[in-house]
Amino acid sequence: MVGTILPIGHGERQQGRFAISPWFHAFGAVGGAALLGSLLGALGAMLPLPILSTSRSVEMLVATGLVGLLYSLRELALAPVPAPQFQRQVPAKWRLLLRPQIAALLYGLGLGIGVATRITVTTFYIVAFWALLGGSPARGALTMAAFGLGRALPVVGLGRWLRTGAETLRFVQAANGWEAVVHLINGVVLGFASTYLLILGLSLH
Amino acid sequence: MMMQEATMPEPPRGTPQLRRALMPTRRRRLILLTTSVLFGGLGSVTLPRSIATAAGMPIVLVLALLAGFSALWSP
Repeated sequence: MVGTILPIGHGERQQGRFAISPWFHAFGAVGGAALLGSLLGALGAMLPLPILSTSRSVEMLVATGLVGLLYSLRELALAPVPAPQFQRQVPAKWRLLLRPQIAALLYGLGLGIGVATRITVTTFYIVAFWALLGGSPARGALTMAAFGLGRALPVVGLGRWLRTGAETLRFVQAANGWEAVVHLINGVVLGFASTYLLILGLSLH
Repeated sequence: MMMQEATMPEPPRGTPQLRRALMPTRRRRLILLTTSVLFGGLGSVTLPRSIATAAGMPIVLVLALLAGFSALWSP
């Protein structure tokens, strides 16, 4: 996505204007993610929880912990845990057809929602699962907004650092070689966090 | 809707030493996971109950930020 959004900002800069498109992208990403979170929270409120214990929080902690542990195995390529997802991408033609700021906003919105496009790491599922089981639109929105923020802030930061298309291309090519490391970090963090949540849930039971 | 296969390829020849070190073998990945699981469990049982409970949401927020940051590697 860096390779799509940042060139929009480069265009603005070349015209002597402030590169505002990355900020539009950030706004869209946080908004889209918060929208997904609130929908998940509302959906979760309809779930008949608790089922096995007396507390919804306990079941949320235990279920999120268990699923997180499974996905940590996947992130570390230790077990082929299924991760259903769409392989779609946001349409590249928006950049050509729409005004730069509108295109950046829509890219942010589409990617912030997250579920309609390719999911890079399964940590996303854990966060979405937590938002769902929480059963609160407000809490779901807050949780998923953090995902949107994490997605958008690096783009804004890189927009200030990478000033030309050539620099952006070099960065994208260099970053591609680190994808395995990203999965490794996600696996380790998921292992830690999921066990923490699982044991906490079991101890509260 | 497709199932994405989990893969962690062996680093190709010429991969810089730092990155090679960060792409461990299966055995080392298993050790890493076991260690992180142990620390997660220890953290949960050793912290005072009120602090441990209060830390649940911030931990998920950190996961959310990490998931968002990792999406930089989406195509």
